[in-house]
Amino acid sequence: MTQPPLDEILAQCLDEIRSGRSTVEACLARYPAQRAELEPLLRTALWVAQAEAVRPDPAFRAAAKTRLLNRIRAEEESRRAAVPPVMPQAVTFDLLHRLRGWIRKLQPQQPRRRYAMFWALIFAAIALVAGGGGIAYASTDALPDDALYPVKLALEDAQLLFADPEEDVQLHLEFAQRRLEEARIMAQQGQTEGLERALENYEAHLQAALQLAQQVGAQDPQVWARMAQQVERHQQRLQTMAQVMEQQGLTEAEQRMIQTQERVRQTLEHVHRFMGQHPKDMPSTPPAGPHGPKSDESPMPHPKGPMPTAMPGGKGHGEGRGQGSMPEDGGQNADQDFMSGDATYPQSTAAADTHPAESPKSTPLGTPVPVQGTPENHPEATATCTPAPTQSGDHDASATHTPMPTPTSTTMPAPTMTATPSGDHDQGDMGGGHDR
Amino acid sequence: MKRASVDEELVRRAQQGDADAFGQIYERYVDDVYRFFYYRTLQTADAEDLTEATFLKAWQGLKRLRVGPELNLRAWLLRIARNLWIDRHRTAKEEAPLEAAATVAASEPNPEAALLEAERGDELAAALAQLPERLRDVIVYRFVHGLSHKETAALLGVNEGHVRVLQHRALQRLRRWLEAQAQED
Repeated sequence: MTQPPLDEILAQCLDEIRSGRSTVEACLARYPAQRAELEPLLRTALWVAQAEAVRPDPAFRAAAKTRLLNRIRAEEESRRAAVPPVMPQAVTFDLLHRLRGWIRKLQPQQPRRRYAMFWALIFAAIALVAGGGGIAYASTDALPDDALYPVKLALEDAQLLFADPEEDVQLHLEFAQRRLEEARIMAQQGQTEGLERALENYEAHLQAALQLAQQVGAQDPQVWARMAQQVERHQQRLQTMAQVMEQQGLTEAEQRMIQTQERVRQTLEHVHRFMGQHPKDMPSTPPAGPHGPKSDESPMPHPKGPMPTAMPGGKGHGEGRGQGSMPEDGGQNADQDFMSGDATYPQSTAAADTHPAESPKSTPLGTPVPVQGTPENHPEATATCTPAPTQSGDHDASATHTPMPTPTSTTMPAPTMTATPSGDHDQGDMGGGHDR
Repeated sequence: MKRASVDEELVRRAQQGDADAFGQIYERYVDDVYRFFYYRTLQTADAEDLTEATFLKAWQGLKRLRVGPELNLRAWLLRIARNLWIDRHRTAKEEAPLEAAATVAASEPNPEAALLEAERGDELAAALAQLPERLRDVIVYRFVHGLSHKETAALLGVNEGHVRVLQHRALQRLRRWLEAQAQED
């Protein structure tokens, strides 16, 4: 009878010894022909397994824990402050209440708006009714790369649909604030695509708020003051985030945030200008930065996709191109810009050069579509999150070591792990494609 | 209470933002993560920095970790650690090719490091220092962390048969090195 290869015999013996089902001697007795080769290998494995492994210095261990927990607590605090939780009951009640008013107001001559509302309601209905509120609640914490993220956006859209224009300005700014927080998390996790999605959506909300503010600012000039205050906060937040990204060596994220900062700065300039103007002097279309709409006929961006603004109120939901408002070659141009963009950050170029409503990356209703030209697994996703270790050289390694035992025992320590790793789904975020 | 059950409970609490629960996770696995880096870098300072970075990254990714009977928190943390280690090499390569040569050298057999560790009295570190990274990984996962062939294969992205072959080769080299050391002594 042929014996298995030595590496298999070795592996089998090691497993049996480790689990206590066998000993070195028993294994060697079973494979007398391999004894001469097998024994030193088993003894070596035992020596390694029984060597008292190094431990971190207790002072480092305690200090690192303190630093870690302080940072976590600060982040949690900041997260809670930035994104107030939305309770499902409140959402449900609010939406139903608004739904009654909306049905009363809906006019048959607004087919486009009705169509958009229909789809937003479908999303909201799935989230709120079929999910019993659970999905809606779960989606409040969803991030751009989560399956529930579209539900979160749909719920926000539903809120926008049912709100008055004055409320819409506020809602757009609130949702923009959420996108900033999502962008921060995405950047820290090295999720480039998620970061892009969050910032693109942020910019679209900001522009939608600006456009709506022009409509309602005539009746309520305070809209401008409130908007200025909030956009200034966004600006500060972006600046802080960019600084943190820089400190952490997340260059791509930092550059993307600087790009968004520029959009915010331009928006703020317009807000300040409008604040000092009589409403009749205001232009009918808000400036949108160097690549935004350039005329009254330019479509208003929808945070999630190609939604021309044929409807009043700037709520931006439509079934596609709207009434000649979008250039016929808009999508093509956007695609060309995108394809000829900066190779190191193609999404950034797309976001800067492509109006969200024209973007070839989006579909109606905001269905998430992988960004064209973006690697499925961004190879630098985790790399950019790696803080460079310091090379202080002040540490005394010997202080953390203990003498090695001699390789004499014939039993191996019992394994401390019984469960095996599941599929890559759990580790995928951390894996960044390395392990596949 | 079983280790896996405790881990599940701690992860659930940490996912709700409970920093203390994450502190307990840290206490349970900081030694494992530190050893992972120490036996690769053979530098205490580097191992400490990378250990801290691993837990920070773990916190950031914790909400995406599925909690259930299949949860293997240590393997998950070691995977983060491994990716961080790979990233560090790659970043070093991209940003400073000359410096990278020195950094990446740590992954190759390193007689100087082995000598230094031997002088410090850490024979295991010295023995591991003379192994190429792939073989060192297998030895560390299998005999320092006590991972199974299957778990080691998953972490290395190879099949179990490959792990068995690497294990055999690594133990042979270690054995030869130990014998040479014994003769020198």
